[in-house]
Amino acid sequence: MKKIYLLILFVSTIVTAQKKEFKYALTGVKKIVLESSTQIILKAANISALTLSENNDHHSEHFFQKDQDHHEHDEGRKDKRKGLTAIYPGGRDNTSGFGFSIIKEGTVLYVIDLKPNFKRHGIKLILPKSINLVINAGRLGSIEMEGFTGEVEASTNIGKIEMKNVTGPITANTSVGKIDIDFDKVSQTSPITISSSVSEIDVTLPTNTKANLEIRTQGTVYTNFDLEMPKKKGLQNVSGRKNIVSKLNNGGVKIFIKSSMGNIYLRKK
Amino acid sequence: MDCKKIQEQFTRHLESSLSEGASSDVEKHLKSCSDCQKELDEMKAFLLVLESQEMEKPSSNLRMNFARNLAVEIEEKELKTIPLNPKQNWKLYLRVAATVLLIVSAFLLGKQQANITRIAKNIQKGDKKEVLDLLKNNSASKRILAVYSAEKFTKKDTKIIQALINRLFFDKNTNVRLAAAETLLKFSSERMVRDALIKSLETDKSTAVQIELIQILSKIQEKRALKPMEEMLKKEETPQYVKQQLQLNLPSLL
Amino acid sequence: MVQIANGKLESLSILFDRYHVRIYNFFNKMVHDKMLSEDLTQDVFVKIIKYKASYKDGNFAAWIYTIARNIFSNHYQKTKKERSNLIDDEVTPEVILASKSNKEELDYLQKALLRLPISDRELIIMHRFQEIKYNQIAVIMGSTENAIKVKVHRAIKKLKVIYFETQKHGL
Repeated sequence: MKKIYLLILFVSTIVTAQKKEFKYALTGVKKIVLESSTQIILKAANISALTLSENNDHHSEHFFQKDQDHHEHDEGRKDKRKGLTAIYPGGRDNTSGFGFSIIKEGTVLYVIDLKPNFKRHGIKLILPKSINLVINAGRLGSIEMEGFTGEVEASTNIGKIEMKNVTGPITANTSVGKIDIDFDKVSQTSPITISSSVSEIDVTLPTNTKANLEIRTQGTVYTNFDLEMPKKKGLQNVSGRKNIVSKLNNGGVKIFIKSSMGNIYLRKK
Repeated sequence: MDCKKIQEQFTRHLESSLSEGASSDVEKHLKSCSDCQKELDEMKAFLLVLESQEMEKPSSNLRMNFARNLAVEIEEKELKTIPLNPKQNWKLYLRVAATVLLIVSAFLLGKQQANITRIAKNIQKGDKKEVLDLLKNNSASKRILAVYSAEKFTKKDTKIIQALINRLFFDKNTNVRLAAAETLLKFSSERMVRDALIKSLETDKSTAVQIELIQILSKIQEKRALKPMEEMLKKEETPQYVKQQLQLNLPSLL
Repeated sequence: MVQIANGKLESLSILFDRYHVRIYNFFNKMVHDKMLSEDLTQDVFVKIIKYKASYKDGNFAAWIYTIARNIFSNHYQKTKKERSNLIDDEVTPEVILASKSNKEELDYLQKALLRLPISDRELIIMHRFQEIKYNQIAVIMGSTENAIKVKVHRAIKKLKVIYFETQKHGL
């Protein structure tokens, strides 16, 4: 199997098309920790390898080409960087010039983006759908993901978090960015926590989800689920803070949705 | 042989546990002794009475109490063999609970289902060590579960409170720190908790946690938080929405 | 049984299944009090759970009955003080032990049993009702098989006499 991957690697670097890809086999990896400060797009697939690619920005193609790796097989390129690997403050690039440091520790794979946000135009990763993920998009990055069934921890600062067809457990947090999560079904394993400081949170759950909901915001809560309305308890309502505790379908896994200021939208599907 | 000695062997004779020789001696004597024969007949009748006694059944309480005692013992025993690796603990915890449930349910009647879950819940709730271990789990979601489970403890459980404070200061995941702050609200009567909340307001980098702390500190009327809050309000780098929250809650502390 | 000594608590539940009714009946024949018998039975199994480790191979039945007898005698000692405060001297202690606790009508046999001295009562219960073999009883009581055989017979005879008298007088 490994030989095939190596072959693909050779092929993918020689056939330098618009899109370059980096592949990494994920045997024995149960969790991936990804750190990057750009726009991160993750797609799930029935594979057991990681495929990494960058978004090409037409305008900065030149800029991009300067950073391209010059593989030994790539004759005709005269470049000072030939045969050398880049070293960044965050580590050593071991992804053939993509600017990532990939380190495996036990069953956890650390994928660290070494380039700052302004040198990136977004990255895309194709990963096994049941893998566990920890994604940190730094101060400026954002996260978009689809089709994952493992446990996901996601955090951004001003960037948004968007998830589709996930099952959880999900632990997501932003400061300013919007959160939009659409669950396929909801895993009952351990709690789901979605929080944001300022912005709105939009969560879609299957109608028959069993859960113990706790929603808190100083904004407004919109929903088409049948929820128990918050009781008025003197001082608590003065600051405008709403605390809704309600069971869905007789209760189940804990789901916490908290925004300090933003509105919360809870939808059935 | 005299009657007394013969009669002493009657029980065994009737049980057929006498040797052949002794047995035939008894038979021989009986043929010529009507008193002894009478006594034998009485004995025979009486032994039948004894045999007719039935075993009674105890109530189901006996079984339940035994199950409970056994469950407690197993749990205590398993805890002593917990490995130090925190990754194992959630599984071990489940395994102990499952073993206990299996044993308990294996011999409780169907009617007793409610008691099984009650026993299991008691084991879950009361288990301080399990919660402490779960607080160090690799999964943020599980740590959050542990933090909320910690709510069940009392303010006397200083180990739990300390562990929560550690999560508040050091956990890498914002949501875990948030959950810790919320749970610590329950223990806010303790001085060390209030100190931790104030300190955290000054040092936490996440605005979500800051906002939560601002709300908590004003709820518990912690006047010592007034100064750090005012400082925060003055600072330029404090985001606008945090300043908004400060403005909202500061007045209640004045 | 050695398994238990090695900490396999699961097998304890099998033992409970096997012995708890017998032990319960042992106590119930001794005192004719269902609630008390359940309490005492529970005490026996608590001890078994706790001291299983010290059980070093051998005869489980003997062990469990030894525990049962100990628990009974502890109970008897405790309630002795209560009994000595009673004014009625003519009634033997054993009868008081019984009549204090039950509300149902005792059958004649049980009444007769309760009139037997404790050591005789024990023997009859173990041999006749619990069907423990003579040699086992000898181990439990620390005696010889033959001595036990004689004692059991004498006890049965005593009981028989009391039984027929009880029946006759409708006591």
